[in-house]
Amino acid sequence: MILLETNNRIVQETLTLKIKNVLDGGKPDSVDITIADFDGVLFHISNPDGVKTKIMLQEHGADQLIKREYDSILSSPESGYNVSVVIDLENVPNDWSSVVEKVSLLKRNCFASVFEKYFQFQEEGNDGNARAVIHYRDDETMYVEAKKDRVTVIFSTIFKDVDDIVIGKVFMQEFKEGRRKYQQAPQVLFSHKEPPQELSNTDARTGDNIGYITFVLFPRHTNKNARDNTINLIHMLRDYLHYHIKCSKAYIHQSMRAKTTDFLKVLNRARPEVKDKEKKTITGKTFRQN
Amino acid sequence: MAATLKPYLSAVRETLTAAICLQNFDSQLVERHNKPEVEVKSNKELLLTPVVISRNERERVLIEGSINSLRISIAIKQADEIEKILCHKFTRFMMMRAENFTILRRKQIEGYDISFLITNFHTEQMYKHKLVDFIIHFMEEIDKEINFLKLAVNSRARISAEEFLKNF
Repeated sequence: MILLETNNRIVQETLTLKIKNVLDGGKPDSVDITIADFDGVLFHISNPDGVKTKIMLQEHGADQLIKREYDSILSSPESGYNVSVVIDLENVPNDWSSVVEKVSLLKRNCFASVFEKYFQFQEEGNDGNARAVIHYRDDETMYVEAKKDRVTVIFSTIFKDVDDIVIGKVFMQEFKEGRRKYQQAPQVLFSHKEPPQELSNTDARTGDNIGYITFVLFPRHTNKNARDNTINLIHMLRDYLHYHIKCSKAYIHQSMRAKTTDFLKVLNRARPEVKDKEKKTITGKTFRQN
Repeated sequence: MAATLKPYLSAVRETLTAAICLQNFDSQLVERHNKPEVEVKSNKELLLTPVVISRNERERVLIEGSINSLRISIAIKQADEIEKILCHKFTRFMMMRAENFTILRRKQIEGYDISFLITNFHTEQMYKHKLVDFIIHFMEEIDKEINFLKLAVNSRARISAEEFLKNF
């Protein structure tokens, strides 16, 4: 599993299970699950009258897109959450699997709304728009800006651990270099500590543990056909990067543990073996080695 | 570079073999105490002149001898930030398990990455030549391991970056 999934598998599986159960003639059973996803997203599946899914995130015309995607099943949000959808188990739609799919993509669609808006600006050649600033985590921010010929997406990300900074740098270096091989990929820039020039006049944070990742998306990434794919990839980048940093650290730890046991074995070889242990021969007689 | 490794290790080996010549020695200051003299440094005449064997400015070994104990400190090669992290993690990992290693010192000497403390009790329980073998084995393997881990991190980064960019 090298690429992370864009949908939420738990949501998908729970809903599929529940709907299948009803379709097979079983009685709808009660459910109350809270699921955390990346970027502080929280899903709550419960059943006031059907299956409900909620998510916390709202910004920049997210409403329009959500309405477009979930119009038929949208309901008024439960307190503490931003969006609620209801699936009525009494009359499950025929295309229920696509509905489930859609619900599990709720988080992705919230992000997508921003991107789609700015991709649209770019297509229309409209560059007078303010930059979108989205605080998608407590202290991490995403900036999206549309120009006539390109869309710039900048992520800020915080490395909690000092070691993460260094490993993160290695990863970002490879992102930069990997681009040479794949001409169709967008330009990726990475800056550490200081925000990139585009953000020089904003309140972007600076500090040792902050990295900025800039994507320059050209029309070939933002046209209608490629758009969904681009959004899928870009909004997962931050999680993808941190996931792989963590994986590397786990791997390092694992091999250090192995090596340490190896060293211990070598050291224990230095202890003389206990010589005069009583040994039994095959017939049961005691055998002494002198 | 590799050409200097062999004489370096053999110099360390010979020095260690000569230096691990330890005998039981009770403390001169406190009755019924027995302390490693290289640590307490209670009397000058019980200490030997410390020896530094150095391969280059980053890789060196400090061997401090005394009448009943011997301290070996190793500075491990750290060419860049990632090697520094790996080395730090590794040595810390080992030092947290110091009681299993018996001869490992819980804290390294200033300026070095890892230290061993061999006392006369260790040499009474263990074979001297095998102890020397262990130190040499450690020095060989740690460099290899750090290189290997560094490569592993790099290749993981490359693969994941390529996989991501390929999908555009």
